[in-house]
Amino acid sequence: MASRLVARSRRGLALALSRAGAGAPSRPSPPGLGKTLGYEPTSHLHGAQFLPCWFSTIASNGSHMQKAQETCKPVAGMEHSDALKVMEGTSPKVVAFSPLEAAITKPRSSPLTIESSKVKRSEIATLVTFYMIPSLLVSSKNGLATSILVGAVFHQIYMFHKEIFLDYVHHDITRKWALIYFKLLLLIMAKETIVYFNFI
Amino acid sequence: MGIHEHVEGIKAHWAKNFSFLDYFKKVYGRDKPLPKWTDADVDEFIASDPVYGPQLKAMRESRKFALGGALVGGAHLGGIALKYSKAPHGVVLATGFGAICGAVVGSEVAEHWYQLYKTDKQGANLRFIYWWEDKVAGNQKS
Repeated sequence: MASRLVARSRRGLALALSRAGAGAPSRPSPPGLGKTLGYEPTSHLHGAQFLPCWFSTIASNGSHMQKAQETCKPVAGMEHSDALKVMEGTSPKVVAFSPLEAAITKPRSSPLTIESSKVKRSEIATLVTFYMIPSLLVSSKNGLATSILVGAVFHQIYMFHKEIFLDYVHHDITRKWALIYFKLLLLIMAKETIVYFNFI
Repeated sequence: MGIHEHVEGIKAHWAKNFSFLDYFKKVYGRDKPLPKWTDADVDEFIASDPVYGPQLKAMRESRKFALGGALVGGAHLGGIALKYSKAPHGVVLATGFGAICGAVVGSEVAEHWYQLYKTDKQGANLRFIYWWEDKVAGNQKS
């Protein structure tokens, strides 16, 4: 696709340059040239002025005939030298894009993806601490495991009530302060529970 | 045999963990409730007992820290809710929640201020209750 497009645009550029070298800008194009390029020249447009716009449009985005005619209409009034300048300034190179390259590139970074990764990590931590509770319950016989169990239980309590705060406290600053207060409360309660379990 | 021993070990471990609840059984699990005491009775015990009296005095002073923390927490969180959310039921709930959190934080501050973590708080309370029980029994005899 891209190689055929480049070949076609290169051949068209060569033909246009040869016609410009001939020095006949306002003469209509011969039927043989029209057949070679694969289109029928219209009577109301000059062939010499039409060719460079079509070539530049093909070289830029590779669209077909109707789209080329639509985009070239504002440029039809330009002079021959200006049209040639526009044509020469256009780069004939086509940037190839492969769907495989999208998989190789690293994921984009934005505040929304950062927030999404935070929520994902939080959900993973909640799931891990959820399954820690029965595991430690059936296997703990010392104070350290019991303390970890208490921490996991209070983490579950915090995440459960955090969902409630997120649903019912709608203002962001009020919700942040309420969660800060709740975190302080649960931290102190967890510390007291560990003290009562292990030291009394 | 191994599983059975393991299960028994876990049961003993959790029985030891929840042994702090025996205090409530001793205080509230009486056949006949004790007569109500007054602040004067507590002050009398504080003056008479050289070991548990100062501990009980410090524990009673902690209530001021809890009350102060409740006022600060309720005012702060209620003020935030009043300033930003402006919902009346939200302000009431936020004030109550802030007061509870503030009271707990205030108690924690008092625990470190009076170094109550070094004392046996349940023991001090139980000692006062036994002292009051003996005093009431002595009064009934006389």
